[in-house]
Order: sequence, then structure tokens, then C-alpha cells
Amino acid sequence: MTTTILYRVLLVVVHLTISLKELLAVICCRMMKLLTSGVGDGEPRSVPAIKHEASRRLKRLPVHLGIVVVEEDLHVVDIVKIVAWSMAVGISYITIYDYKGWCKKNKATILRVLEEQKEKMETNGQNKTKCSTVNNSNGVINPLTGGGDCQRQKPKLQIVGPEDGRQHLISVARHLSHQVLNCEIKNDDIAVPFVDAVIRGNDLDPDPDLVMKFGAVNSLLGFLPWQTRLTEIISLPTHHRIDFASFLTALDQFGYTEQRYGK
Amino acid sequence: MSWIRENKRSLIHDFCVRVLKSGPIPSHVVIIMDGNRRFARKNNFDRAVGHLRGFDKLAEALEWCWDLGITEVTIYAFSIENFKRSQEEVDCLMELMRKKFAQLMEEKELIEKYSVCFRVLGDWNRLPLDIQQMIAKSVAMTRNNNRAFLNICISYTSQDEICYAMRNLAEGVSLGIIDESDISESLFEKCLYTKKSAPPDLLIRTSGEVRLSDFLLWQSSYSVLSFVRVLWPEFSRWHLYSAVIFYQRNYNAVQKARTSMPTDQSQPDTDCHPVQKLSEQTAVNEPGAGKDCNRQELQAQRQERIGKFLLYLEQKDDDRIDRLLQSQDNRDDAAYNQQ
Repeated sequence: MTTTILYRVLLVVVHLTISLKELLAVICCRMMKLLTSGVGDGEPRSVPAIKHEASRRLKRLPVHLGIVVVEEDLHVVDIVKIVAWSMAVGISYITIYDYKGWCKKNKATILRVLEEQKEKMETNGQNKTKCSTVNNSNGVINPLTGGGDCQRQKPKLQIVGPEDGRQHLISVARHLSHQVLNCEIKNDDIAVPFVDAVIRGNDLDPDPDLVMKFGAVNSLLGFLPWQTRLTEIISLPTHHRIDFASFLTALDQFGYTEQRYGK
Repeated sequence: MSWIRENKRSLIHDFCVRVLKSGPIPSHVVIIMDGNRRFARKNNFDRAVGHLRGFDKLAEALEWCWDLGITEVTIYAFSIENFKRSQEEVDCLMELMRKKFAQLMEEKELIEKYSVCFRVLGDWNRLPLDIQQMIAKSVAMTRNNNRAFLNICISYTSQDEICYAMRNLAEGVSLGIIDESDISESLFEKCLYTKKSAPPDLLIRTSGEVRLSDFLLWQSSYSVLSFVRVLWPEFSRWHLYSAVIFYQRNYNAVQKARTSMPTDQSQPDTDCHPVQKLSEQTAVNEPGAGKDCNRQELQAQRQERIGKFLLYLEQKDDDRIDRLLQSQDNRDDAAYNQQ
């Protein structure tokens, strides 16, 4: 009994030590940011400034970014900042997810705050600059949205919840069973390409190639299981008071990943 | 190297295991054993040597897992996508599988001693027939063992597995064993290759890659994901201990998220419609009769249908194994007669 308690105490000490180390790392990181970039790094940047920094630093962009928030406490303003930055750098598809489905239920609020954020960013960009380009992960030049001579590509935003993950797969299973029962399809037709087309419905959106997971929980907590087969998963500690530098660092990390597709 | 190792733990490892076991331990760990080829390149070995070292590391890791009380381990040994590799490499991997399954047969006593159950998950039909037969023999030999479980994913992808489950369900509906409305998340899980396993608690991927690569996408939805920057043949006991600590640090949050998961709302209460009709009829004939009694009856009928369906699936699996064993016996007899 005494030895059991001793082992338990030792384990608690190990965990406390790790927590302390993580806290010190966060404090150091924040101090470094304060010293190097000053206060106000979380303030909205202009679209041209974002484009310039992205094209200078990033090797490639994801085509479809999943913003997965695994924290209990959701800050709409911070989530919207991430979306606005993603649109400004030129990511074509953005999906927001939280495991309780709060974002999906409050879609109207998120869209309203997003419009306000975009207006702020456009107001900050007084000088129209030439468009810069960053390769997306298909290697295709992806003109960033902006003024001047460049074409505007409208990014697509969707907000999903847990019902779009496993529960949607169950609906598909029921639908396919119904079709087999009525001889509309054969059982052998239920293979990956066919099921993939049914799951997507009318959407031709690509699967997310990058998920930025915000929060200390190291799990995707139900985010679109079918669509994440090849998704790179990069974790950030929190979305609260997220700064542009951290967002860019995560995108930079994505640029160094390499898919082998089984080969 | 053997599948089952019986090395004595050193004092320090014994101590570490006792400390870790005073906290929550994952009962089911899944491992993407990535990095064999990069290990071979790094050390100027042939790829074949890299894969062999990878198997040796697996045997070691199983021992460490069982020391910690992790009773179930699932590994990603060979993906359907891996068939795209060069013919030479695919042949090399198939040959390694032959050797290792043959070795498994020779270690029957040791496997029985530790009561290890081997399961092979994946689309066996894509594999050479002799390997299918060896797999069938291993699975049949160990199916009643129940102290430790090793699930080996061969010729597997998660999307293929999900389609396999959907085909099973569609077959059940078209044969009239189950109703379309019986299809739910829990029934779906019982149609996957991992039907006999609890959901994985912890997923470990080595080599620093941070993706799931079409592995257990459904099952690992609520698992703790641990991406480790070490090549699989260089994975050590300390890496496993770190992964368990990592799991413990995420344990409470994941448990909380699992309990606040939305309940399976995908199963519409279609019992309502017959209940409605029955209630209306009953209200005419017997005013005051309870609706609950009819609902309970319909739910009991549903459970009965599901029970029959699951027995049907189990019989299908057993028949497949019996057919493979029979075909191997026929092949052995033919070879004997030729001599």
C-alpha cells in the first residue's frame, strides 16, 4: 500500500515537472515575441502585408485548411482572425470544426464577425500592391486575392460539426443499403471511389491537406474521419489571442511535409 | 527473432513500469511503424534489412506493451497503397510475411503460454493464396486466446474497411436480416474489421510524420494522437514510456470530450411510425393502452434482428477461414501424393 502511494506521488511529480516546463516555454515564447515585435502583434494586419510576408516565407500552401478547435472555451474573434488570415494568404478552402458543434450552430455570428474583420484588414491596406503568388500544394500558382491587375479568387468557407463526421457516414450507409435493396446498385459497387462520390454529394471540394488543431487535447475529436486520410495535423496550444506569427509558423511547417502515398 | 520475447526487465525499467501503472494505462494502443526504409538508407542497409529490423522492433515493443499492462496492440504492417511500391520490394515484404507466419506456427507453445490472440485485419483477397492460408491457420490457432491481443493490419486501408462495413450492412438489409433503420454507429462498428476490439486509446506514429495515412480513421476519431520523431527501428522503451505519459496528460480531457459526444442521433426512431399506427389502432380498440409497452417490444425485436445479423457475419468469417484451411489441406495432400 505504501509503495503504491509512493509510485503515485512520483508519477504526479513527473507530470508536474512536465507542466512546469511547458509553462516556462510559453512564458519565454511570449517574452521573446514582446521583445522582437512589440505590443499589438495580434492587431489586424493589412491584406497586402499578409500577402507579402506569406510569399516571402512560405514554401507552399495547403489547398484546404481545417481549423479544428478542441478547446472548451471558444473565442469567435480569434477563430475569425485565423479564417481571415487564411483567406488573405490565398488558401482556397477553409473548414471550421469544434467537437460540440457550437460553431455550426452559431454560423451567422461567425460570418458577421468575419465580414467586420475583413473590412478592418482592407481599411489597413491603404496602398494597393501588386499581387504576389505562393504555390499551393498541387504546385499550381495561386494568385492571392488583392487589388490591382490580379484576378480575385473567392475562398470557400464551411463550418461543420460532429454530425458531419461519423453520423454522416451512417446516413450514407443507410442510403446505400436502400439502393442495394431496391436493386439500384449492386453490393459490389460499394467501393472507395463510389462511396467517396456519395459522401461528397455535389461538392467537388478537395479533402483537407492540413488541419491546424487548436488546444491542448491531442485528438481530432470526431473531425471528418473519411476526409482526413492524408491530412497533415499540426497542433497549436490555443486559438485564444492567436498571433499571425504563430499561424505563419504552422503554415511554414506544412511546407516541409512530404506525401509518399504508400510508395 | 521470435514473436514473443521473455526477457527479464532491468530494475530501472521495472521501477518505471510501476510508477507509470499508478496512473491510467491505455488498454488498446495502435502503432504506425513508419521509418524502416529511411533507417536502412541512414545506415546503408538494404531495404529488406530495414524491414527485418522493423519486425524485430515490433517483437520488442510488444513485450514492453505487455509489461505495462497494454493488453491490445494494433499495428499497420502493410497498406493497400503499398502494393504501388516496386515489385521487388512488394515481393520482399510478402516473403517476410511468409517467414514470420511460419515462425508463428513454430512458436505455438509460447503463444499458448501467454494466451496471445492474433488477428489479421484487411482485404486478404489481395494477398497471394499461400499467405492467406498461413494467416487463416494463425488466426484459427489462436482464436480462443484471451490474455493479450495483436491485430496486424495487412492489405488494409481505413476507407476500404469502411466500405467493407457498408457492404456487410447492405447485405444484411437486402437479405432481410436487419432493417435499414437498424443501422447505427454501434452496429457499424461491429461490422468493421476491428469488431472484436475496444476503441483505441492511443495512436503512436513514428518517423515524425504527422498524418494518419488511411489508418483506423473511424476508430481513432477520439484517440490520443502521439507523433514521435524517431524512426521505427530506433524506437525504444523510453519512447513508449513518453507516449504513455503523453496519453495520461490527455486522458481527462479526452474522457470528458467522449462523454460529451453527441449521442447517436443518426438512428431515427422509426419505431415511432409503427408505434404510432399501433397506438392509433390500440386507442380505437383499447382506450388507455400504454405506448411504452409497444415501443419496448419493437426495440426487443430490433435487438433480436441485430443479434442474428452479427451471428451471420461471424459465421461468414469462420466459413472463410475454414475454406482457406481446407484448401491448404488439399494442397498439402496433393504435394504428399506427388512425392
